[in-house]
Amino acid sequence: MDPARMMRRLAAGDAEAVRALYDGYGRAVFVVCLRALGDRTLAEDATQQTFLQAWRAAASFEVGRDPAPWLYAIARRAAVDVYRRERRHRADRVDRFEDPDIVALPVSFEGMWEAWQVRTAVDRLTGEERAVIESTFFLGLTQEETAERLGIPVGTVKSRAHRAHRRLVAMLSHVREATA
Amino acid sequence: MNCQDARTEMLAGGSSGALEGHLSGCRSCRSEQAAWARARVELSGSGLWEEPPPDLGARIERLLRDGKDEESTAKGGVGWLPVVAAAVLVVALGAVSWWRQGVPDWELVMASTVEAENGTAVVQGWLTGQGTRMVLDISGIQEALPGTYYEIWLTAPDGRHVSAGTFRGPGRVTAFAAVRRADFPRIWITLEEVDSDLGPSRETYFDTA
Repeated sequence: MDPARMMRRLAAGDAEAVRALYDGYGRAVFVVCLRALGDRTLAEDATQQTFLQAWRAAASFEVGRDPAPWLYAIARRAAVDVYRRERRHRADRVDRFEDPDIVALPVSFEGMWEAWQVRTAVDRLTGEERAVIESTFFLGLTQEETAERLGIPVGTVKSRAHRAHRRLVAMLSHVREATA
Repeated sequence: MNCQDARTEMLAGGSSGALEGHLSGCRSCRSEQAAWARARVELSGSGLWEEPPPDLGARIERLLRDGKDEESTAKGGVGWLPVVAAAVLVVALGAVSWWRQGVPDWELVMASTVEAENGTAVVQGWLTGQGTRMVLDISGIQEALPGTYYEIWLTAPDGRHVSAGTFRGPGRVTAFAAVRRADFPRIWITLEEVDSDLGPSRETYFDTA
């Protein structure tokens, strides 16, 4: 579903459009929430809240714009809300005299935006490009090992890796410029 | 070395003298190199490759459908009543149904601040299994300027805030927060900037406090 149509349907209260939004950005939302909260269960909770809030706030979204920065802002806020809630529950670690408006967020929140950019860019690669990038960076395999793992020639790994790198840099530059 | 060659070598992880020479005189390629260096760090982190549970999307969809069902039932009146029921029973059940589904659990008029001198905001709220659903009728305020939006907050006595949704201008707004109003009694509306600070701004337009 193209993003403009998806956001129009979302704004109209169509629950199926939320599924389309999730299919496009669910991994990225989960990854940044996990990075911020450091716990899969809490990250699931924050991810769920993100899409519920997105659906409810969709009417305020300007159709035609890139939904990624808008959704990221909601995800970050959802993660902060979950963090505050959990912090509150851990009563033994709460300073009763601390102003709850001034919550010092942990270091894990600092890299959320860059993680979001990279993950959304990775999710926009083709499956073949993504497999090569994942093999290289996540599994730490050489190009020869990647070729063996994926059952393709080394030359193909090189060309896919190069294409993927270029696309990643282009997408990341685009995001950086759009939000500057 | 031109930019094309420099970027090709950069992406391949090269660091020749020619590349270094090009980078020292090309701001665009230096910027690209910095972006790629940050991306490499992110790509190498195991957290980036984590996957959500396979059923999470379906769970979210189910939550929304349940919420929508509840809302459509509220708007749907008493269509489920057996049409052949005795008139008295129909009236009685209809009245009970209207009371349970149509009447909000609470309703209040929010006080406007100097920011919304001529504004009015009336809120009706329902306690649902998942939190608090609200319908706000707002008038007398301007459409939010581009880059800004209004945000509805619920606040607990200890100062914790939860956002219940955003909107752009006067009219009827449906909002939801996954908390009980009994725990978060204060409702207030602020004007926020897009991608600005995460907490509520100091530009309050309406407030129940």
